[in-house]
Amino acid sequence: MLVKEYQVKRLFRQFGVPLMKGQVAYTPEEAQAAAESIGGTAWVVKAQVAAEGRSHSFFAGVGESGPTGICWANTPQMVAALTEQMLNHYLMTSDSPTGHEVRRVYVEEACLGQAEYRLSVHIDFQLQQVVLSIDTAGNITHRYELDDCRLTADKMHRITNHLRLKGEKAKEMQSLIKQLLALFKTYEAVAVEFDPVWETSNGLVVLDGRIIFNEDALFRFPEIAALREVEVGQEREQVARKHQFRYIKLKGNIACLVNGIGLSQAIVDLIHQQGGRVACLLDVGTEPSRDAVAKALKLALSDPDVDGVLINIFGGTARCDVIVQGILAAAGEILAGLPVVVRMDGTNANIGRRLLFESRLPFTVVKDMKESVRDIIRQVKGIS
Amino acid sequence: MMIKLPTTHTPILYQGITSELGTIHTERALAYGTHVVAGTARDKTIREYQGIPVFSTVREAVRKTKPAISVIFSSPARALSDVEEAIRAKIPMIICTTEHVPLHDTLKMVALAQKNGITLIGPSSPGIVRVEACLAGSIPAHLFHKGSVGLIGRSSSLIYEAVQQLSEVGLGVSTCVSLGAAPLVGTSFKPILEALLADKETKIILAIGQLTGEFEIELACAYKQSRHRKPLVVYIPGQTEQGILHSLFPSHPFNSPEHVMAEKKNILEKSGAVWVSNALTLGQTVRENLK
Repeated sequence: MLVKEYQVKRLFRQFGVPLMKGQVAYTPEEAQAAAESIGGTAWVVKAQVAAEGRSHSFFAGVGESGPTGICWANTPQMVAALTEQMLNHYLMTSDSPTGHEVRRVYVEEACLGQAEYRLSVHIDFQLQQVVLSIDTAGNITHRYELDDCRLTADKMHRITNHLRLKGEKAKEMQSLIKQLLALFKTYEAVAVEFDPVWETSNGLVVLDGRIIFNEDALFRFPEIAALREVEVGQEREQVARKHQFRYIKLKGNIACLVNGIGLSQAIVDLIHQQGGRVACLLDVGTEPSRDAVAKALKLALSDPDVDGVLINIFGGTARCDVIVQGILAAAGEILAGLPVVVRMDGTNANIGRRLLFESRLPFTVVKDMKESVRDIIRQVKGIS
Repeated sequence: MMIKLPTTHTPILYQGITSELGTIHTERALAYGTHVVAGTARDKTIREYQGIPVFSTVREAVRKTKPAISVIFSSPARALSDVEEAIRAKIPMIICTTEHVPLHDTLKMVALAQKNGITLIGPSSPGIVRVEACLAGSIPAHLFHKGSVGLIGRSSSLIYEAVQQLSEVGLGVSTCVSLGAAPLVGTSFKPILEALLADKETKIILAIGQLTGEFEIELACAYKQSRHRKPLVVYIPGQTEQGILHSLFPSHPFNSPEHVMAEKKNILEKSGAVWVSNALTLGQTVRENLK
């Protein structure tokens, strides 16, 4: 989970991270007042959305000639004008096809200096290790594997030596690294980044950054979980989270309801190999409830991109009869006329198939994975 | 030291034996003929469950019954402390079935197990089944027929699919180890491969990998170096949709999945393994390569 810049900076500030002065604003008037109270001669107005790549973004309906999500202003009046252009508009970033609605901006004192570093600490899933990485303006990356998120004074010294920093400068960098690690550890994050870090006359300043929180650890941080805002276009993700299944939106027209991530990926590969494309993946996991299956199927059927649904269940710990009860609970939507192909095997599959048959609903029940993939592709092609 | 695959005589401890999942799976394990020697429960008044002695600490269970494997069914919040307790009691193999363990907890348990020379399988692993001999975990053992295929995999659902395909071509399984599909887990393919290569009942090995991580590369190296001549068949799903990977592994920089897959395929084929490019032909490929 990502949160917005002003929320991240609030956390950064608690850990003593050096930042520029800044304030959140919900209206152009507030933004102008914020600029005046911050003081200085120039400001940056930043759209607050939980997304990456704001400086390469544009606003829906305005296009790339208009403002991006991060704009420079020379007067408090200009701060207000830019805020006006941003609020209640959709910021289009590369990670979201629908864009993010801007409900507030962050007004920050403009920084004079130059970009020098990018610091990050993250769990490297390739190495199964925690890695600290520091990129310099000269495009050199230093990577350090950490045991137990700890850095000895000796290793810290070596890092600043690699960066050719001495005296005060070395101390500043060391304190920044300590703050980075403290945030990572305290919030049990997947990653924490200070990016970019600028060199200014007042020393190093972190201009932006992010924390990627681990969804599975959020039960320990209710104050962080409470920061989650459901954005327009993300209601489906919200439903999936609530009912504990995995929902991944993709770009095709076949919805896949599967149990287990390995089987999901195998089926997505098969659909691709045979010329189909997947609209969304719904992984109901190893032991789904009736309710979760019903919600997942409803979600698939309500997606306008979906022309057909493939349900492929291999009951292991999961029981096919329970899953069918979930499917039938969403059956009203099935009658909306989309083809639904079902393949079911494993624990209680016979009972499951019988329940499907007895429902007299127009499912296509097939015998194996091969037929299920072939059949849904054929039926969907018939539609479009 | 080589991992010992369980047999019908392997003594097994169930931590949390009276929890909801603990009771379900203990009963299945007992019905399967598994040698369950002890359980633990936080409620100190429970002394026995289904004729099995129940202790309030792992240490005491170890002192009295000497289990070789501990199977853990805890909530995500408790998994770390339960695994730590088993590691401190020096149980040589720990199976953690818990899903959704916080990643920092997994990092801690994996590091502690490594430091103490203990095999931690999982988290998020349904465990091990020695077909018709021992069920340690939550694998639906009733799906398995006894045979000569050794099966190792990350994702359990795909393992069950493979078992079905093997049955369809008239093959069965000797031992199946599910490593867990969580982004971080304690045990990779290599030690299980070595145990299966040395296992008399196993004639061929089917490994089902994952696109991310280096387990499959390590598997290829171990296979190349091994002196045993048992065929190894490998399948890895997930080459076509980068969107899925981004969602599974936030912040992880991915090269193109096709590229990673091609690299793994190349290294595995060079090691002598047989590559399966399509999930529909798992059973068939194993049969073709079984001498």
